[in-house]
Formats: sequence, structure tokens, C-alpha cells
Amino acid sequence: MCWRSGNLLFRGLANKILASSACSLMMKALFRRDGFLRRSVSAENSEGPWLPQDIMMQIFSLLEIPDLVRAGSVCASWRAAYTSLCTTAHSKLQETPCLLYTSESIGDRAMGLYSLAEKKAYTLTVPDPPIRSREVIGSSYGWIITADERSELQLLNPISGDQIALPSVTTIGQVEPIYDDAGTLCQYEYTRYAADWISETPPEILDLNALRDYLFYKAFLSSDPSTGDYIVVLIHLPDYQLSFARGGDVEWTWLPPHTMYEDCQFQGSLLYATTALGEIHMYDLGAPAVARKIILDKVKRSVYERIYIVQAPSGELLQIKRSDDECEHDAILELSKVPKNTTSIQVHKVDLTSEKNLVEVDTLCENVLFIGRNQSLCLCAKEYPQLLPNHAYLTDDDYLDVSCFKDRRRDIGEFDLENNRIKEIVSPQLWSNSPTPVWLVPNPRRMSRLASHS
Amino acid sequence: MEVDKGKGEAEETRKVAEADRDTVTLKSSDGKLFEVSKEAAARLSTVLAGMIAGGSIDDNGTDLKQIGSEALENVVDYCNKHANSIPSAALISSSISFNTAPFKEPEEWERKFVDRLSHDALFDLVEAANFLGMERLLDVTCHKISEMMKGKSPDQIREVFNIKNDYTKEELEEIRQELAWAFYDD
Repeated sequence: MCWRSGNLLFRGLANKILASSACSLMMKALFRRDGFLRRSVSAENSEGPWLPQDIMMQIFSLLEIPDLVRAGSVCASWRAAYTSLCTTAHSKLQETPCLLYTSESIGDRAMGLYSLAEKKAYTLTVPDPPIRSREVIGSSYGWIITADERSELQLLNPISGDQIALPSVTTIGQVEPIYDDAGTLCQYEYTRYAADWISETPPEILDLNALRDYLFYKAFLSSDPSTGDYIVVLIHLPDYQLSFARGGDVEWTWLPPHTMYEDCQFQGSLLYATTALGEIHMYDLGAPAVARKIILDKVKRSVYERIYIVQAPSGELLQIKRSDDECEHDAILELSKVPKNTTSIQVHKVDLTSEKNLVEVDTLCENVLFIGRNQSLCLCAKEYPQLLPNHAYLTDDDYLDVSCFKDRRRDIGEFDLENNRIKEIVSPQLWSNSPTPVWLVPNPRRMSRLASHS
Repeated sequence: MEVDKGKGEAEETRKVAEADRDTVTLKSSDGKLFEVSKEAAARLSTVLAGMIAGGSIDDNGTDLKQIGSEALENVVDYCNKHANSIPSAALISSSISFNTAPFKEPEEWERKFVDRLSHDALFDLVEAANFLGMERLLDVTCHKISEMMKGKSPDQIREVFNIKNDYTKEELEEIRQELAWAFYDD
């Protein structure tokens, strides 16, 4: 017999009752809880309805973040339920992704949060360094990964305002610090190499804020870092290699020799990484010696496609290919000026029992994709009634665009897989083109003291 | 459902007789009796399932001292309606994939069922569902209450639920500063 270990108060009690032969007696004793007595007290004071805190938490967990914050401020007992929800490590929240962006009009230290559920924009003040001076290279579990003007990386939760410094960029093998006579860090030396080659061009000397555009592509988290227990993996140049760090690490660990990675997905400490050639590799980052396993071999594809890996709500692994109209323009100057648009999204189911290992599917059915510089997400529209089924919500993640053509209009919109048409999410455009906007699943959870200590 | 095998013969006989009945009788705190389908009760309530399996159902009405007659009537009504409705794929899947199953939107009839309730009746039903381990009913009632909070300012929420703002001025200012971003201008 299985019992769902949800929010139910008595899940332990029910088991005890089952095990008990004199269970009705026991039930009477076990259920004489404070809650039922207090109800009548509050009714006398005519303070409105009262519910036990864990039920309030269950109700709150169904709210989108702005509603949750408002409800959590209604009265002291509701605030207690809200605070408890925000400090419980594994409380289940079901938040519709929002678009997170910056803009000149809201200032250097604020981020805009556009709620797809409410179709409403909010402004969040976030801690320094000023967010407009950083680049955003990832978004997982309600946290963004940013690179500041010294090209150092941080994790930032824009809702809670919590921030965690990641290991120094100088612990990445291709980067060496350069100090001036006073011993102050002034530049970086960047050497282009991978496990099996080294560039013929000599190492490049870069300003502190320039390195980030040469080095970083995307970053991903294995879990919500508010607990302190997480792994962050980085796809970096040259050649889109992997490095990772565990919560509390002081340096990045390189994962040679493979290159050309485009997207990553974690299942616990198992990392699934897909390459531009469509390969899928699995690394067990929980093991002391990290070994690589090839899940899927090369699949021939066009270089114009970007590739993503995502787990469907049913548990299936999907490989997504995204194409745009870029190849229609050729001059690089032209590229930087003409807006680019996604023209097709292809979905393949990874099925290792089939002959080709990949089975193309025409439709996402009830499902919804979120792709861009965020951890790729696949949600079921039935659980998120504000989202459109068989649509992909896109933000820009092309390396050249995001890191080099910073003023170029971002390829952001809701893409209908039925007719290959892309629509604007909101008009007029709320965001600046750089740092590039990302999808964020808002997460109000605050860091435990243990985690903030590290 | 596993039945305790270490019991006396008389009790076994009683259990067999009980198992033959396809309803169980529940008694509210104010002494009213309600009949409910045994199959639906066992399927929808972990506590009733445990009691049925454990043989502690009283033919003359199982005492549920924490639940008033109005809430119990709604519980029984929900069980009977649930027994009659064709379970959708969503409900079936949520009942197998325990831990990972996120909340599934209420069915049309479940919506109607909770929509007709007064605030007091709704809150009583939440507590009854919680007490009886009726996960789906708890989900549906909690969902209804969460719907009543959506898109509202804190003042509007207080009005809907008749809640007194019990903060001091200082506390209120602190909350405003911390959470100002999400407040509607009220």
C-alpha cells in the first residue's frame, strides 16, 4: 500500500492508524489537535475563517508569486504560512514562468518580471553589482547566473534577493589573472585550447569586462541552490566545453575532452548534455570520478539549428531543434542589423529502442516549451492554464547575437508549432536587448542560514 | 487491502458480514447519520480506507466527532458524485504517480460542487477533507480558496475573507518595503 506523501497532515498518522488494531480510539486521541479548537476562538473574535498553517501553505502553493506575496501579507497568521512556505526547502510550488529582463526605464538596479499568467509587469530591486552592468548566462530553479564587469559569476534569486558568488573565473584553465605593479587584478590572459588542440594564435590579453563575452555561453543548475546543495555546470568557449562546480567549491572542475555542447539538463546529479551534432552525453557528477556515457550518437544536422534537451512531463527525453531565418542574410554587417526570427521548431523523442534512436513528433500536444538562455522546460498546459499548448516560448540564446551583437533585437516570442508562426509576448517591447532577457520560474524560497554561510 | 490475520474467528465473521455491505454509516459531531458508498469512501479517503481495512467501522454510525453535519453531508455528497462521475485520465494518473503528480485542475463537476458553497462551508469542508485524508477533495477545495485570492490587493483579500489587518504600523511598513514590488496600488 502506498501513500502519497503530499502536504497531508496525517500521512504519518494514517499509517499508524492502519497498523493499529484499536484504531478508532487512537484516531480520537491523535486528531485532537490545537487547530480544531482554535477555530472556534477565532470565530468568536470574528476574524474571518481560520485554517491550520499547513493547509494555508497548500493553498498558497497554488498561487503565482505576485498573488502569493500579496496574500502572504494579509495578516500575521497568513504571513507565518507564507514565511514557512518560503523557508521550507522542498515545498512544492507551481509557478508559471515569467520573462525576466532589464530596461533603461526601470534603472540599473532593477529587473522587470513579466508574468505570462497575469499579463502584467512587475519591477524587482536586486542587489549589487547593478544588474544592467552584468550579463545573464542562465536561469534555473528561479535563480539566474550572471557575469559581472570583472567577468566573475554569481547566482542571483531576483525574488528573494539572495546571491551566491561562484568560484573565480581565474580557476578556469583557459584563464590566467594579470596583476599590475600594485598587485591589483587588471586584465586576464585567455588561452584558447581544448583537450586535444591549442590555438595557433597567441594568448589574448583581455580587459576584465571583456573576458565574459569571449568565455561564457550558458550555465545550468542541478537544483535550487537555496539549500546549499547544488551543482552548477558551465558551457564555455573555446569550443563550447563543460566545467562544473559543486555548492561550496572554490574552483571550477574541467570536464574534457568533449566539446560543442549546446544545452544541459540535470536529473539529480546526472548531467545530460547535448552537442551541436545532436549527441547526448551523460555524466554522473555525484560520483568521485566523473565518467561519461554516450546516450545518443551523432545525428546529422544543419549548422544553422540550435539544439535543446528537455524532459517532457511524461518523463520522456525530448531533443528540440530550432531554426531561424539567419541563413537568408550573409554579410555580417547585415546580420547585426536585421532582426532574426525563429522559423521552425522540430521535436524529436529520444527513443533508444527505435532504429534511429530519435522519433520525430509533429506536435507537443498539451505541452509547452520554454527555451532560450534558461534551463529548457517542458510543462503541461493542463497544469498551467494560462499557457498555450503546442507552443514554444522563446528567448534569444545565440552566442554571436547575445555576446557580440548586443543591440540586436532579441528573438523573443510565443511560437505556434501548428503553423510555425511566432507572436509577440507583449507589445510594446518592455525590455532592453542586453543583458538578454530569460525565462524564470519565480522562486520565493530564501536561503537557509547554512547555505548563506558558504 | 491487507487484513490483519491475527484476529479471532468471531471478529473475522463480523468483518465478512461488514464486507458484504456496500455502504458505511458515518456520524457527525452533532449526531446525524450519513450513508456513503464503501468503495468511494475507501478510494477517496485514506483514513476511511484504513478504518474499513482495520475493521473499525461501526454499523450504527462511525463517530466523526470533528466534523459537523453540514461538512459531513458535503463530504458524502462529494464521494457519491465522485463514484458516479467517470474518472478522467487526469484523475487516474494523479492517483498512480503519487509524489511527482502536480495539482490537476478541477473537473467541471468539482468546480460546480465547490462554487455553490458559502465561505464557512468551504472552510469547514477543507478541514473535513484534511481530517479524513481526502487528498483530491483537499486539492479541489484549496484550489477554490486560492482562486478567491487571485488578482487582488491585500486589502481586497481581507475584505473577501473578512480578515482584520492585525499588523502594527511599523510591521506594515516593513512588509511594504520588503514586498512592495507585488502590491497593487490600492
